[in-house]
Parts: sequence; structure tokens; C-alpha cells
Amino acid sequence: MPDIITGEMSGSEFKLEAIQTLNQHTGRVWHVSWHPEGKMFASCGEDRAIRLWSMESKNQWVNKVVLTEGHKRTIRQVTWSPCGNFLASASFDGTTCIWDKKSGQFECNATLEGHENEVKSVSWAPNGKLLATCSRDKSVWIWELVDDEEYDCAAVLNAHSQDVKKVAWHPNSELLASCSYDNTVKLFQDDPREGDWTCQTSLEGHLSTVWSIQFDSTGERLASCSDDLTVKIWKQQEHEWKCAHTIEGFHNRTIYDLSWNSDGYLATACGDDGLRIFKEEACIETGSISYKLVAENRQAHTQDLNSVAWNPIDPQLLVTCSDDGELKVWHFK
Amino acid sequence: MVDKKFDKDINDIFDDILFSEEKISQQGFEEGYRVGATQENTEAYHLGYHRGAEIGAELGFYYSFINHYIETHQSERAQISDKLSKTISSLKDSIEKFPHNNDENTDLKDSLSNIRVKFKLVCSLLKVNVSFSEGGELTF
Repeated sequence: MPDIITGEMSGSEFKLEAIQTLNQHTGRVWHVSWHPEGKMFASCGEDRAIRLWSMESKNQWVNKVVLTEGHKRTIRQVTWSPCGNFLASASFDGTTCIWDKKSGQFECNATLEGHENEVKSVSWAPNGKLLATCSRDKSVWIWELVDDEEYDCAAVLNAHSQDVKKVAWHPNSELLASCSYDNTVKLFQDDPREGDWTCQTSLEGHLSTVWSIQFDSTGERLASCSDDLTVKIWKQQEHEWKCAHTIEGFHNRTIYDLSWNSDGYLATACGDDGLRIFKEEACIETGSISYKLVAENRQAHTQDLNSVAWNPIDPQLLVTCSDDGELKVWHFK
Repeated sequence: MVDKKFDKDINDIFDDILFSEEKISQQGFEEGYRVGATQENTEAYHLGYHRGAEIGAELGFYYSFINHYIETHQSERAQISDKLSKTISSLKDSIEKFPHNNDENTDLKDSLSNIRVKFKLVCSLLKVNVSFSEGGELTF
């Protein structure tokens, strides 16, 4: 197993190394999410279980908690709240559960119902007061936390014409992005003139399903990955989001997920079983930008990679999960 | 005596024979088109009628639901959250503004989906699970 790839390009000083393989899940593992403090991460999958992994010693991650009560079908995504006290899980049973530790152990204390069918993604706004969910029913819902316990629906948005795959908030403003099977990425904001959430922009350019989106830590860039085998980097220019660069020619199958680390490295999880890491390079002469592949492992897993997530504190650590039922912790230097 | 047949130019006669298939086909097409136009007109009328009736039933369901809610909760107005009363009145407004004929200036599909979404929001805020079961839209 070529777990260590020291870069295909000569002179690459980057090393991507698998330091641990975790295989407690049965069936596909759909998503991984780091706790904001970086000492724990959550994973979920087809087995309807949420597993919490904590660091026992250096490079040793142990499954401490398994949450099984809560969902009747596949859990598609788990996300920690910015404060780290809540965990949200989105499931194909049409509900979203909010877990907290108020009683000493993790319990599902709120269930968000309303979507007609499979909930595909859930995301917390940076202030922790708003939550967005999206579903196969083509809608995006925004939930508001009232009195610390209750979640009220603040808006139902039906801008997409197909299945919505993922929702993601901007890191420091109340701007929500969603991407869909209709090949677009849409941006939503609470419009004070209308007193309601509205779709501000539709980013078009991908030729097929857009599977995932994420803003980088500065909020200046939005990356989107698609079934058309490309990653697009969108930047705000004069109040308008424009495609600044397209990463193409590196991926052989659908790209299912991506993640930015705090140093601006972009990792992609691809259906060709590969894990790749890119870095932006600016060309001073022309003022244009390009992305360089700095590390790659073409056999990161034995099947499709579903999700990738960088540790929010340690920019050298990342986790991937796959259809092969495994999670892998990687060291990148 | 010259046979009347030969009044016609021989070339035209040959043309008649040569293009007879085309001519007959054209006649058939015109005839069929006339019949089809009459028949399909009726069919289209029925389709429009039924779609209209379906939409009408659905909007009527939403409208009576919110009107009933407004009537029964009039006394406790103060307890209704701002968000809820705003959404309800906006929904009521949208239903009232929905055109009663095939208005080409209104995007009917868009307005209808807007109304559906607002109704969902109302249900979520009221924490009730209501859906219009006869809604005939197929979803995949």
C-alpha cells in the first residue's frame, strides 16, 4: 500500500502520510466533522450511528462514544456547532437532530422536522444562532435558535430546481451558500428590505451536479466541487462572486467533498479513491491565480472518498472517510 | 376530334403520376390536422380545467386553513409571534393575488411554489404537520 506519496513532482517538499485507519463503522461512512477545539471528531454513516473519536495519545484516535438512538435511516452529515457544545446530524429519515451534553452524556434534545424527505446537509452559522438544512425536496431551510432550546424555522427557500446537496455558511457573515443537482451554487442573505431571506446570486459554471462547497477561513474564497471533475474557486469582485479559477485535469471521477485548512491548503475527496491537496499560487506578472497539486494519494481508500476535513487547530492533520467503511487520519507536512 | 384528356400538357400528367404519393400524403396531413386540432382542443381544455381545479383545491385548502386559524386565534393575537403573523398575512396576500385565469404576466409555477413554501413555513412555526394530500405533483 503506497501510503506515503512524497509528491509526483520533483522537489515537492510535502508529505502525505496515513497515520491511522479506523474501521468501526459498518457500511459506508458518509461524513466527518472536527470539534472546534480539534481534540475530537465525529463521523456518521449508513449504519445510522454517530461515532465520536477522541485523541488518546499522539496519533492515537479512539472511538469513545457511539450515538445510535436518533435516526431511523442513513445519517448523511454531522456538524459541530461553533461553540462545540452541540452536534447536529442530518438523516435520510427527513429529520435533523441536535445533540448536547447538558445531562452529562450526549443526548438528542431537539429534532428539526419539516423536510419532505432525505435531509442531505446541515450547517451552523458562525454565531451559533442559525442553522441551515437542505434536502432532496429541493428546499433549503433556515432555523433560528430561540431561548437556547427551541429551534424555529426562519425561512424556507426554494431557489433550486433539483436536489440540494450541501449547505455552508460564510465564516464571518450571515451569508449562506448551497449547491445542487441543478449544477448551480446559490448564495442567500437576510434581505433587510424584504425582511426575509432571499437568494442573492446563482453561481453558474459547473456542467454537472455540485456536490460540496466551502468558504476558506478568510471568507474571501468559495470552493465548489462537482461531478464534472472540476473544482471551482469563486472570489468576490466588486460585490459579485465570480469564478476566479477552475482546477481541472487532476480528478478522474466525481469530486464529492473538499476542505480548506487555515493555511489555505485545499483538500479534495474524490470518487476515484484519491485524496489530493492543492495550494493557490499567484502569478505576479499577470495577476492571475492558479492551483498547484502539492500532494496526492491515488489509493487513499479502496473505494470512493465521501468526505475530507482538516483539523481546525492543527493545519497538518486531516481525516477522510469512504464507502469502504473506513476512516483515515492523515498527516500532511 | 381530339380527346379531352390531351388538353393537359403531357408533362403535367407525368408529374401527377410521379407526385401522386406526395399529393395524397399532403391531403391526408391537412385532413388529419383539422380533425386533430378539433379533438385536441377539447382535450387541452380538459387538461387546463383539471390542472386549474387541482391548483384551486390546493390554494383553497391553504386559504381556509389560515383563515380558520386567524378566526379561532383572534382573541389571543398578542400571543402570536411577529414572525408567524407576518408569514400568515403574507401567505394570505399571495393566495388572494394568485390569478384566476391563465395570466401570461404571472409566473404561475413560481407563485404556486412560493405559496407552498410559505405554507410549509407556517406549519413549521405552528408545529403542526399538515400537507395537502391531493397535490398532484410528482417528485423524484
